[in-house]
Amino acid sequence: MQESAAHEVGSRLGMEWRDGKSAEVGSTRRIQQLNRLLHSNRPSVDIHRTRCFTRVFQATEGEPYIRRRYKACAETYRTLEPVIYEHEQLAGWQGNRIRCEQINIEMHADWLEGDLDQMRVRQFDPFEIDDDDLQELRDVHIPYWRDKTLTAVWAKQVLEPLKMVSSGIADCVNYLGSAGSHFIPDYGHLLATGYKGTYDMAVERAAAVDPANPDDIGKRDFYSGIFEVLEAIRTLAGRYAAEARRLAETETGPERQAELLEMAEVMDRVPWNPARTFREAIQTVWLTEMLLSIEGAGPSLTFGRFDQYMYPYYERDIAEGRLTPEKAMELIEEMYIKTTNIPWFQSSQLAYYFGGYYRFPHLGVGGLTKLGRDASNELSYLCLRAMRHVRTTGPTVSLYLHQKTPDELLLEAAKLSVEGMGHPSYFDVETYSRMLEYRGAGLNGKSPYTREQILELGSPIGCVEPGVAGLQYGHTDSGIVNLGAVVSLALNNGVKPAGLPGWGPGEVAGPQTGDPRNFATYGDFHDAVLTQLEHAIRELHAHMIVAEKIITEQHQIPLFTALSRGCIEKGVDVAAGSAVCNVGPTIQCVGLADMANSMAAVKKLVYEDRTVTMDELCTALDADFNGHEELRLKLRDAPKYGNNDDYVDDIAAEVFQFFADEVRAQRCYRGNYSDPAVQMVQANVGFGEMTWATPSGRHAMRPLADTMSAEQQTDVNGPTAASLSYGKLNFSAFTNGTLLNMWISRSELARVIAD
Amino acid sequence: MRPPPVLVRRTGLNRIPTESVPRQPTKAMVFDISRYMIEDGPGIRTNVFFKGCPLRCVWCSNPFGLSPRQEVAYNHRKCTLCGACVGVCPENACSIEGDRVVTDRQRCTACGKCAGACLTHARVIVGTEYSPLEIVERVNEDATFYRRGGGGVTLSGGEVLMQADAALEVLRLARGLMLHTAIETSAHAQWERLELLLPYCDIVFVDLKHVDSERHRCLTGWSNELILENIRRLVDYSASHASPVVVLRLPVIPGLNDDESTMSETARFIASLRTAIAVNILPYHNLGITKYEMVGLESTIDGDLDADAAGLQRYCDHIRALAANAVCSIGGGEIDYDRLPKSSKA
Repeated sequence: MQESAAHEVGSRLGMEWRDGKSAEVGSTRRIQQLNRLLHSNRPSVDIHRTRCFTRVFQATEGEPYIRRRYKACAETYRTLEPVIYEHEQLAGWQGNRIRCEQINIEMHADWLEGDLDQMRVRQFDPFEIDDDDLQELRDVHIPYWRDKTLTAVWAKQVLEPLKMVSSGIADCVNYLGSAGSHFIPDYGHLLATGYKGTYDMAVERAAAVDPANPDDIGKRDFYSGIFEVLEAIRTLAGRYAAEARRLAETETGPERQAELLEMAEVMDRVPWNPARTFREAIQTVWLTEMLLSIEGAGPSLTFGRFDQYMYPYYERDIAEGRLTPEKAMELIEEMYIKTTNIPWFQSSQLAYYFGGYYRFPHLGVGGLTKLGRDASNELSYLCLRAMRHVRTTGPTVSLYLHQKTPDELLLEAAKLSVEGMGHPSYFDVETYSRMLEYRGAGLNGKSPYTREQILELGSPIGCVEPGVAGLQYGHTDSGIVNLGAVVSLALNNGVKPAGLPGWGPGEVAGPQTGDPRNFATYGDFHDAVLTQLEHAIRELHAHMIVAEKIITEQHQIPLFTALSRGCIEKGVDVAAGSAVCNVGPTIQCVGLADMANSMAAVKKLVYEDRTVTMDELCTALDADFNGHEELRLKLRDAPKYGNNDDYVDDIAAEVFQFFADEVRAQRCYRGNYSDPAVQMVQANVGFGEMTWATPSGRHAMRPLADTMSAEQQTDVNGPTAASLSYGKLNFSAFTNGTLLNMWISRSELARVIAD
Repeated sequence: MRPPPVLVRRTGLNRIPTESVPRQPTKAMVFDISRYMIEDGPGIRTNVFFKGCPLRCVWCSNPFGLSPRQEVAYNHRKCTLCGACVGVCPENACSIEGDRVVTDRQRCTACGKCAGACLTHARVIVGTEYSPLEIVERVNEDATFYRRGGGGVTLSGGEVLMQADAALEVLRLARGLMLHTAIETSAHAQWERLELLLPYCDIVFVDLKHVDSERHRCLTGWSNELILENIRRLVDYSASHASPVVVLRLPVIPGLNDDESTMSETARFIASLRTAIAVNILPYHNLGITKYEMVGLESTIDGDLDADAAGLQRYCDHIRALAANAVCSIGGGEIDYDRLPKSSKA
């Protein structure tokens, strides 16, 4: 009883954070110390990568872009400072301090100039930075890069650059700021061959390049760049080994000394050579993960099906007595801490939408084997259990659920859910397999994936997009359409309401669908909304494919390429479209429930019950309901999505399908089709602030509904009724994934587990 | 206008053979159908609260269940004093006095016009008539959530035995859909009414408010002989039919039924049942205290009745010491349904 009384006041984690307890958790003393180290540091930036890029680019003016990019990446890895802290077993920190992030200057220079002074104190995601580094950025790097960033180049080529980054209606700021993202490396292959395997393959292919074949133009640059990058990674590992030996010499404790020497031996061998043990395998995975996060500017560099590709090493080590489950879990916990250590460095505008530093990596467990059997193993349990011990934000531990998931695994996951941290994410294998079958393939097509590839290598990338390890590339969290704003446009004849911030208040922002007071039927209103929606999608897409073209030409990513299947063979960078399946730029929506509730309210009150006229509604909306509270209450009383009410759920399902079909009809620069998604995380707040009052009864500039969820405070029939509403939507049509958050108070959880 | 109830394919009710649908369904007066309930039976459940109760427990935690008739409830905290109810009432039963609307309950016929006009839902009608089929349709919407955890439907109240005919139909239909069924009762009714329902129940929660008859009369308005007798017969029935599972619930109201001698007497009564039985000590909550004035009743809850964890544990210890046949738990959500005693004579 005492226990349940304490639970009433909030999640256990929240309470412990307030008490300052959470920083020092973990299954062993070593993990507790490392966790403390992590949590006692504020996010900061390192300009090592920036220096390398500026140096290389200035020295190679006029040379092919791919050569310059590959050289700059190699230079970054080769000269990265090898830092090893007390208690560590896994080598690799991406910056010179804890929670330190490398700035991808070629993405950020354009906005960074104006925000540099605010960097330490900006409202969302402030970063610490040294005075000297700040001055160097201002004097050297920003002047060189500011007109060369993706955003700067793009802005010169499109019609409405400002509208597309700050109107709050349709937005691609995320796409412009995070090239090099959303990727699951082919870890199974990497562990089996090491980087050496990739290198040997490149040597073989480079020998076959025919300078007289026009298809091979640029491939010499490609292969020599790949050699240089892979050798740089080998050099970096060697430097870590040397640093470990140096520390071992001065170390007085014999135990720690032995650990450091073991670390040196591991780094001597991997990631260049194939991994032989669990220890070597997890080191390979971690170093690769870290380097990807330096190379790419974006989020969601994902572990994929960790329990699958690691299990052979685990199983052998356990059988041969080299490893215990406890030791394996300790290594996994350390990797979780290191993953959380990587913040996401975003522009101020992007941080306003996606603030929180989190970089959305996934680590998946469970699922099926390629033959369709349950794939869970001991490591699945250890990965879930490790998160209960270490309690970090990253990576998102994900459980792939299916009909054959053992009850024990589901209960282990439920125990983690009860901790209230948002771990694990639950994914339905059947649904995301269907999403992958149609990924990037347009309305009537099929993706290039085979059923076996989907089952064996398919997993969410992060936050929720379905991907296939090593076979898929593309920035998948790209365009955003605000459905709340779309409704607003339909009620204002295409004009953005005057009281809003950002681009163009009071200006024509969409097609002129007519004065809503003249809509004779609900059908007229409905068509106006969908016309606005269609236009918003097409306008956004038109702007994004230009950015996509620039990315293929100027933002090559060698390590992503080396870790994708078939790209080395083709001799083409993965950003230029050499992946088995290219995806993106994709389009997602925010405010689904707001749109459905708004349309249902108009349908019911204005056109069925006729208790409100369109004129009254428009007048009240213009005034943000000031002086019209009675009308607002009537609107609040209309059917609301999330209560298993077909009246409004049917509208939600229709809009959902319309959005999906419209997006999937858009063809992208690299030949694939766009994919729709709902994955806004917390951006419903930022976009809500840019949205006027809606007929759902929501006040202007208040948050929109979260992702797939019901509007705040409107799902009044409990989680089961809400789930039934959500279940009516066609998730499989959202080939870029859907995110549904449900909050259940701890006191409302039924006790099914005897702990 | 709600269309007459039909067998709706959406809810899976098409699987009910038509002859099991009563020709003249008895309507049930219900004041709430709550989904995702987790304290009154295993798994995720839907609770159906029948309106009307023969007892008048002074601590009644949900006075909406007392009257068997529809009534208007008014929450002045939600009221904006807009006056819509005053204007719309055909009986002139509403008037604004000071900071709230006063309802003349002699005049009020609970026609619901005021509730329909009230935009903030400060006025609502408590009590809705459903046919048993309508109730089961609602319950069955959540069927997918019942399966895994062994959930189902719990008929509660008020007092479900006051509407035993309708309850019987609900239970029969629910059983037809293979739903897990439970009732929660004070057992203050003729034995035959309870017996009628038992073949269709998987679990029966039965309350014992006070073991002493005179105190029972003071606290609830009725002596407890009928209840004690019904509990004995229920336990016997359960033992001889091997069903339903009986859970004896002891609501603990601080200062009213948790003194040492009551604890001991209750424990001795449980021991006298001579069969293995689940006992569930229920801490009191006074969440319903504001509902009294909402339906025009004087609150009879006196003082701070919040549960005291140590007292509950002491109660549990008494029972364990004196009644070896009891499997005792504290709190509605803490019953381990996998380890309930199978009823059998000791």
